Amino acid sequence: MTSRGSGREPQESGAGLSWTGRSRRWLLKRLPPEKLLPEGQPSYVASWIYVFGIGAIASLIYVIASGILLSLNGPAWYHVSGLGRFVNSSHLWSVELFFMTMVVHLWGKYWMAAWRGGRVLTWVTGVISFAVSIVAAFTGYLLQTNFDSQWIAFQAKDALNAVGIGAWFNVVNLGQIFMWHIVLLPLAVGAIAAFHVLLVRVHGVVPPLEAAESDAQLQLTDRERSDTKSQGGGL
Amino acid sequence: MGRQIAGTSGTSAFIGMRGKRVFSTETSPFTAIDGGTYLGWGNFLIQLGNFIVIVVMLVIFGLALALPFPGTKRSK
Ligand code: HEM
Repeated sequence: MTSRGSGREPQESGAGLSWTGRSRRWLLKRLPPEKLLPEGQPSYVASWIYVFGIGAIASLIYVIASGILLSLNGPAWYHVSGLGRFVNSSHLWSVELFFMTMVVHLWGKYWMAAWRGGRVLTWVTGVISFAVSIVAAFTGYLLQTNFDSQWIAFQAKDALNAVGIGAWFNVVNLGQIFMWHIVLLPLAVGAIAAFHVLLVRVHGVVPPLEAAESDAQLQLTDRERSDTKSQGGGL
Repeated sequence: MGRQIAGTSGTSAFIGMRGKRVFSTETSPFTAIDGGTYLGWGNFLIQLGNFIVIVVMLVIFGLALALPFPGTKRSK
């Protein structure tokens, strides 16, 4: 994203390296261990509004753990036994918590314009994780195998057919939707969320609008914007 | 899910793997089927659950901005 960083590189010693060596160099430059696992954060991070991203991660971990329990035991357990129905319900409620924390997180990031200073991709991966999470939740509702899910499926199939994907994503094919819900979509949400958090670590937490001067990246992109003609970070 | 065990008289139709009744009205997940509760103001219509979730999120957002974060002195 941030051009090549050519000016900051002390020596261009990557010439003789293999692709693994070049990848290592690139990764260590972008995300050195002290940025990946920092011990402190800027003072402005001491606010509840910064807690909701971690809240979303915590909820997501519970969603996935309870989902693994459900898939290990199957519907004959989770639709029938007391414990099964408890785990099934807690799976649903942790999804509710996941979405609520994600939306409050989204509002917070929106009102502090957290895409500033070369952080556009963080915002964009957030948007994608939100969209993919909605599809994951949708397939979950289809798996209730009750009148609600039947209603949802038959409303949705017309929309999906109208946009031409109904043949590949067939909401009345329960087996297919099951696989989307327990394999593909959890992997997708997990991978995007992990990438999202890595990006936050790469760029560092964005300062509040009033403290914009305290951020090296904001200064850097400003300079780069005037150096290289425009092309500076989207939005 | 339940299966009819061959040889039973058939009055309590569905029998689970360990002989428990599987589908009864008390334990069925399919009991709460109704149209749902809707709130409306003029043209605006919203389902009660959705309304609660949105209000809760707004309240949490407000509290997150208003409440002091523990363990830090608010110097700036
Ligand atoms: C799977 C759902 C998500 C998870 C697990 C997640 C997690 C996180 C975490 C842990 C952080 C850093 C801590 C914080 O500021 O809260 C963060 C930052 C951020 N999130 Fe998310 N997030 C999610 C969804 C979203 C969505 C939907 C958006 C907006 C569309 C978004 C936009 C951002 C932005 C822009 C930042 C960077 C803030 C900065 O650089 O300081 N995230 N996210």
